[in-house]
Amino acid sequence: MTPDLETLTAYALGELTLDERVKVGQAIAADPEARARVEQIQALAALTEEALVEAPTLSERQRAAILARAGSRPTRRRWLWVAGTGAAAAATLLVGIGFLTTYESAPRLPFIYSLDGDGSAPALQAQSAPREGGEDVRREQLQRQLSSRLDPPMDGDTLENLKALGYVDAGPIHGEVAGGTRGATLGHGDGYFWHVADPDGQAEGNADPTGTESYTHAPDSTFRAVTQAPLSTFAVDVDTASYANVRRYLEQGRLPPQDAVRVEELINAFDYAYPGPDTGEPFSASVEVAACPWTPAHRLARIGLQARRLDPSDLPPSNLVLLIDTSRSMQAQAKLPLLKTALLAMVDTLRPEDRVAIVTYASGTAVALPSTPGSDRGAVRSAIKHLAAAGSTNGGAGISLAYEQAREHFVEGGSNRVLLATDGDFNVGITDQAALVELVQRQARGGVYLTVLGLGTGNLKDSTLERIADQGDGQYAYLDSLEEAERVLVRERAGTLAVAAKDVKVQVEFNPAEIQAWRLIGYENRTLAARDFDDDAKDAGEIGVGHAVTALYELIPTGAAWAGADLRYQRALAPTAAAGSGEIMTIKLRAKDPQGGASRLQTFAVRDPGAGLGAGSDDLDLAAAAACFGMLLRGSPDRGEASWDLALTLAQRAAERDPGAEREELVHLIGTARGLSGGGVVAY
Amino acid sequence: MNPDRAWIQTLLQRHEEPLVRYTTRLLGGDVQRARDVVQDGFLRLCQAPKERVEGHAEAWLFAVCRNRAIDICRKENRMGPLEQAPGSALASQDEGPGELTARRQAHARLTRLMTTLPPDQARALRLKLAEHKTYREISAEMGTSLGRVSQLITSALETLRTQLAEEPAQPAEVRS
Repeated sequence: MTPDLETLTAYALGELTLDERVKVGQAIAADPEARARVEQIQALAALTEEALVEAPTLSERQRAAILARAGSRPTRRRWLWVAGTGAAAAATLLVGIGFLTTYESAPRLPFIYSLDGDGSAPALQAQSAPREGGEDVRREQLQRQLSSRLDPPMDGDTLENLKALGYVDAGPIHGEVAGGTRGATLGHGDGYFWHVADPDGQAEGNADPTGTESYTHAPDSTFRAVTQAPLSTFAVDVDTASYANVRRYLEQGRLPPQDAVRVEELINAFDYAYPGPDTGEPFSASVEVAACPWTPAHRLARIGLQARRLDPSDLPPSNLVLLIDTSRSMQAQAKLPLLKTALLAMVDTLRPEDRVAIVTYASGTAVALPSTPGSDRGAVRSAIKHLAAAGSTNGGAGISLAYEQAREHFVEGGSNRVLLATDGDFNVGITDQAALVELVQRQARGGVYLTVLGLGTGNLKDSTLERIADQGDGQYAYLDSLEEAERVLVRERAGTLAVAAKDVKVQVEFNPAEIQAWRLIGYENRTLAARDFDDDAKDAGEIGVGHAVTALYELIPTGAAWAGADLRYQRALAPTAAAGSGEIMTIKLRAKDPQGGASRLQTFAVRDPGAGLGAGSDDLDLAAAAACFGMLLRGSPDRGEASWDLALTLAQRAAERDPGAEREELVHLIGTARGLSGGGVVAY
Repeated sequence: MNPDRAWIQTLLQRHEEPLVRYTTRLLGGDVQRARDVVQDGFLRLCQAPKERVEGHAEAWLFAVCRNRAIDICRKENRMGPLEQAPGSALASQDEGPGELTARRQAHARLTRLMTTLPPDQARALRLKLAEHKTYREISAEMGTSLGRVSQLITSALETLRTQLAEEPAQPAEVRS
């Protein structure tokens, strides 16, 4: 039955109680006309709401700032960023002026300050350690200079004059801010920034000008002598967030902050053509060694680990039942609202052969969306949007209903799964955990698995959830942020529903007879202690179906010049018989099955066939180009003869040998970075 | 005036207002914040290579401000407005060239049509959409029953809808 216009309007405006909403939601799911009507009402209400906004214009000051910026495009222009809190406009300006003065008298300012307080007095705090000593002295100097300018305060005319001279610019900061390259950053916070032109580009600093993006500094890993450190151990990492971030900066016409560049993530942002593993093996290893492009006397070893593949379209059809806790405790932003946003994004990945149902439980249980094929995304979206939290919790009854739904639409050979999203507050109903676990086990035997998504903090009954998931042959994921929720439910949905291996660790042992020193490029944040490699209790990365991991080692062969540390009190370790094998290193890989259990070890011995400069594959060129690019952006100390031209040559060669959009993009980005840096190495 | 400045100024005149209105709604009615987002959008436009933006600056501005607003909501966990505000369905659908122009036009007509509504309908709708009150709060404020509030708002929207459909677009406004 189609609900009447008044009900549809109330529904569209989010006015109904949960029960009514569920009822209307179901009616709408079955009635395209009613749904179109709801969308029409929402669109009209949106436009009307916009029409009712009062004073919908920018301020004169904002407009002036925009026009001041127009016509001064950022090419070859450097900015010094001076920022302060919004309330502290006057003080902020003084920081700007103070900084100018400081800048003139002391052009190198190797540390970053932030402006604190309410603007009555500019308290300065060092944000990072100075490169060379005397921080306190410098801070005091700067503070004195600022204080001396506090009286009389800067007036608006002076500000306008400075703006006209191109020294100061102002604008709002909210997260990322437009424009500018690097310079020293003064300040932090959500308010207005001031840029002070830095025509010579000499000022130092490495913080994001927006204040809201902060990056942890991890110094580049440098060469280590094989005699002193024969093992390199790290947890795999297939994150590629840094590449996207670097791209965003460059496309906005500025260089990324040094610490936003994580070289291993740049390397892993590309697809390499690694062959899949043999049947029964979780991983294959593809290793290639050739002369190192930026230091030809060194060797560059690329290790590619490939988990078994499964094409996303080959994933079995899924029959998902979202079992969502809509009790009052789920109201918090980090719970239901976060989940809804992630689920809405997940809807976009549904294929026509997939099915989704939604069951909610609070004081009562309800089917918010009967099992709906992926071809009707609109209905799924609408049901998710109308989830709301109220009432107490009866998790047990909800689970029964969810399993019923899953059974009803059981897909033979498909992925039949109940996704239970809750803060774990099973405070009504089946409190008998054993009975609950028994139910979950019985269902798993029948082919319906459970994935538990834990949400929020405080109320979270972690052990309950984990126990239910464990015994139900399912998975447990904790969604602590929208990013994590989107990773689990969207980006790596295939990997979530089909994980290839977990706790994946790599350990490389170098042969001192062949290699005298090694350096792992990137992975600064991922290194593990050597003893953790064999310790199954130490968690490490997980790899979803079809993922690959690439690591690059720069190796100094015995015989090449290297000023390594000589040991005064001990001699090199005694080589074993295997040291004479000619192998340069052995890669050991440990991984657990997705279901857990003991880890499994695979080992791969590596020899160096002696390939010269440029004799590697296009994949090696590509990985080397990405590494080179990253090292230049980070100003890595071990970059050797790396240059923008070298990075460009490597990337172009890779793109010529195997054309593709992502390789073209790398060529383009390197070119952009070369332009922005003026062709030189980025100095920090 | 240099050509870039003139270009930006024209875009400001044309799109500033619909952008602030639109962004305000995405930010749950925070017009101050919306202004900052829109200013930020224009500042970015000034920084972007002109050859890449020219010709579709309207769509570019719209997308940049929308994404920025959505980011803010996410970062601050301010998902409420996006999720629950009327028109949340728009967030994923309302892209396209001429979007801002079409909105500006619709805003103008709706502002005018609002003045033709019976006063109690207009008041109820304003309380709902401009002040984000619930039916219950509106009924308390207007001293009338919940059912009556529901009727008033339904009729108001229905009137606006039919009038908007009947009335042809103003030719002068149709340009991008």
